[in-house]
Amino acid sequence: MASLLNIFQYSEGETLIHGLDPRVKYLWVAVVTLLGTTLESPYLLVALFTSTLIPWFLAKIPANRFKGLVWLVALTIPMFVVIQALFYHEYGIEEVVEPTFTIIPKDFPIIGRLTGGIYFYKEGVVYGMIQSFRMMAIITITMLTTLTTRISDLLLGLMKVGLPYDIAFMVVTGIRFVPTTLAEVHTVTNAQKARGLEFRRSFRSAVQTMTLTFTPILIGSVRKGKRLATAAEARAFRAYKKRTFMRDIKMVRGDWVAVGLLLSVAVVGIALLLLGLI
Amino acid sequence: MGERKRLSLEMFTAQDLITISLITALSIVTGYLGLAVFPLAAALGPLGSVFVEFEYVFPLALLMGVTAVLVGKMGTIVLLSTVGYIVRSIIFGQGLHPLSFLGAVLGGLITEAVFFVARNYGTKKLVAGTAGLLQFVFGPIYMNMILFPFVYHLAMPGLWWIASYAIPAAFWGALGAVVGSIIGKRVREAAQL
Repeated sequence: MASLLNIFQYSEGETLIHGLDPRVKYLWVAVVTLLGTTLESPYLLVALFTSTLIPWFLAKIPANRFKGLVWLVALTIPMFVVIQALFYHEYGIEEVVEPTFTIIPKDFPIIGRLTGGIYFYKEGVVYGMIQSFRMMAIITITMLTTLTTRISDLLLGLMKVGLPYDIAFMVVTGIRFVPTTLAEVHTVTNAQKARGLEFRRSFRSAVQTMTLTFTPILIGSVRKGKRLATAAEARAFRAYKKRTFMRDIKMVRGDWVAVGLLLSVAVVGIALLLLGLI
Repeated sequence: MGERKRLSLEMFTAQDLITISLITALSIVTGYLGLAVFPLAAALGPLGSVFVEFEYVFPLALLMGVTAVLVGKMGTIVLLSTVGYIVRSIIFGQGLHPLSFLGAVLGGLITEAVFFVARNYGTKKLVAGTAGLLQFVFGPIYMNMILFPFVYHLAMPGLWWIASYAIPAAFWGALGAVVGSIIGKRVREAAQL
């Protein structure tokens, strides 16, 4: 749980990555997403994923934050591998692929007839690995953005890219409260357990658990919202159309160099793809 | 007929905006925790989608229902979907695909329209339930939003594949919206709004 809470929170630091303008980090996310969704070669996808891990070391992210990422990788890779290994043939793949072995034959009562049989495909395992690297590259770089950018800078960055203040404020408040909400879910769940609520895997129990967990969390959120709104209004929230900030962000030479590098990588990557060279 | 108000962000008070943000945070958390069930559900084949949609769509529809009741203004769900989309894009990189954006906005608009009818013309719970039924349309698109890199590379999945997600999505979405409306009312009274 602690590792889950940590991966959404800003990690203090004075490194090169921390110092980058948030707009550069947004561009970085966009470039990795673009390449992550267009590249097909497994080697290039592994390289892309590795390239997103390097800044984690450059940013000197503490080990306890790293645990969250490791947890996510450990969950994502098996998840994709299992899905692809079982359903590889159903996903619009044109060539005929023979299953490696049968898990549930199609003449098996009920499940077999409903599903047409469940098979294991070794090609699916490879494809699952490719897909997980694709997704992990994107997640790794986006997480780094929230880990290395102050919440106030995230807000400024969003406004500088043209988002209206109200929306940017909501986005930043949403991000800021993800760890708090996770902690609250944990507290409420423990409190309900202490009161004797049993978490069984039945539909009735699941709905009951969800209602009993959601209601106190929501009441807490609404009360918190009221307090926050009072605080925001006391500080002249929306008093003037044009807002000013105590601290501003400015693109410096290093940021422009990073922009140049990122754009070059994106252009070269896409050009090579279009030419069929990768 | 009263004067028609122009739909704008200024209609929302600071408390409305913050409430939507906090519920967005909660929706991220529920989506995040729901991820844990995915491998198990996938192993069950198309039947597994019933569980996937229960883990994803039910809590999200529930939160939409709650927000609609708590904030009670036109545009609430679109705002919730848009903010949720941007937050997901920033912290998970999910949703940076045009189809995902379409899913978020379209889903928000459809649900919004139903909640609008519910608030103005119909029996609240009954009509709110149809919000979930309309997820029949955006359920699969929403799945794209959650798992877009995975779905993106599947080209066009077959009709059966879509239906296996859309039918449970419609069912759980309808139930979620109804339960959400009830919880929203209870929360409003308990928080003394």
